[in-house]
Amino acid sequence: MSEEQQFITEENRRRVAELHAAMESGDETRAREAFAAMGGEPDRELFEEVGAITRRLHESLTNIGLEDHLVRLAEDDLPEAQDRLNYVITLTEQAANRTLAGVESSVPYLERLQERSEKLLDRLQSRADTSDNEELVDLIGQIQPYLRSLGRDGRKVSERLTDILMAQEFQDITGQVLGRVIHMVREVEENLVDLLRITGERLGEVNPRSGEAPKGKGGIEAEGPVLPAQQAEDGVVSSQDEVDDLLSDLGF
Amino acid sequence: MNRDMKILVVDDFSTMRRIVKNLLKDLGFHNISEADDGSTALPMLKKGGFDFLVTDWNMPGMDGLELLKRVRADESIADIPILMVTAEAKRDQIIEAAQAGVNGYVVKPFNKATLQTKIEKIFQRLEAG
Repeated sequence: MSEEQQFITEENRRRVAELHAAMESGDETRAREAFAAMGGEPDRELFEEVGAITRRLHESLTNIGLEDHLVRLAEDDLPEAQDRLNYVITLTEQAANRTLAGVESSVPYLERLQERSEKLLDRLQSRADTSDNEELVDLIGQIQPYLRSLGRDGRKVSERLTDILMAQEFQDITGQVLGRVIHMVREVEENLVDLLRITGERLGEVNPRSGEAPKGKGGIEAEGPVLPAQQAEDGVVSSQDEVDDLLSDLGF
Repeated sequence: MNRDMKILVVDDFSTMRRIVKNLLKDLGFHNISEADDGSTALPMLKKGGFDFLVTDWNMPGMDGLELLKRVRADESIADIPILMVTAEAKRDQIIEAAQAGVNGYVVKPFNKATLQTKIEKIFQRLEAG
């Protein structure tokens, strides 16, 4: 056992004796001071040890050229990674909005087409009902199935447009997932900056670009979309039916 | 169910607001307003006139759960029916939302039929008293 780690030393014997004497004499202040002196030493040792480790870490990082790399990572690469992910969110949002605009503007055309064919169908029917012109009635008979198919096909196209609309939901889900990754990268960046500050003479040189670290709110918080790999975990519902069952158990 | 009722759709993603709005229009509702988080939504609700609130959970600023609690705590708007449409799918979260007074809970990704069923169910129950 080294001298540093030894507990039974002359110094500690003297302190215990001092504490004992102070307590025996009933001197409150002296006893407290003696007790504090005993507690103070290990803290100082701890801080010195942490300091030594930090110096060693700094030397190691510098010796293997890692510090420059880490500074570059904290100053450029990690912020850039966040920019790139934000750019993906922006692009997917633009694309989803273009698709939605296309769907929204198609709906009135489709509705007009269906409405007109519906009206024309009615008018042709009443004309056919009152006409003696066989040729005309025959022609109307040929046109009617086409107009009916316009209505039927129109409804199918309308359903497909709703599918396209719903498919744009990906932008919200992927956006939330990327948002969480960006948040994590920011935390790594901030921790790295702190580490470099502690270890280096580069104190104050490294400037994190991003904002404050996230604050926990306690209690139940939003956690973002569940990924496919998480779906098997306990406590995660895998379908709307399970949500409904759970709510029904709660009296809903 | 009154198709003229005033609905507020709250989601931080404009894409999702647009989707929900289109689906609601498809279901015959036309009086729809939007907000991008709870802090924007709450003053709009307090101004009055809204009959139904459709909100996401995970939003910056005031999230959907906080909005739900604030609405239930404010006497003047406490009775507004609230449907949560969210990607949050943990059982604890659904229970928390239920305890906070949500009227319906739809997990993303969802479809038009689910949204329609939940809205109908909420208003059927309210009408039944």
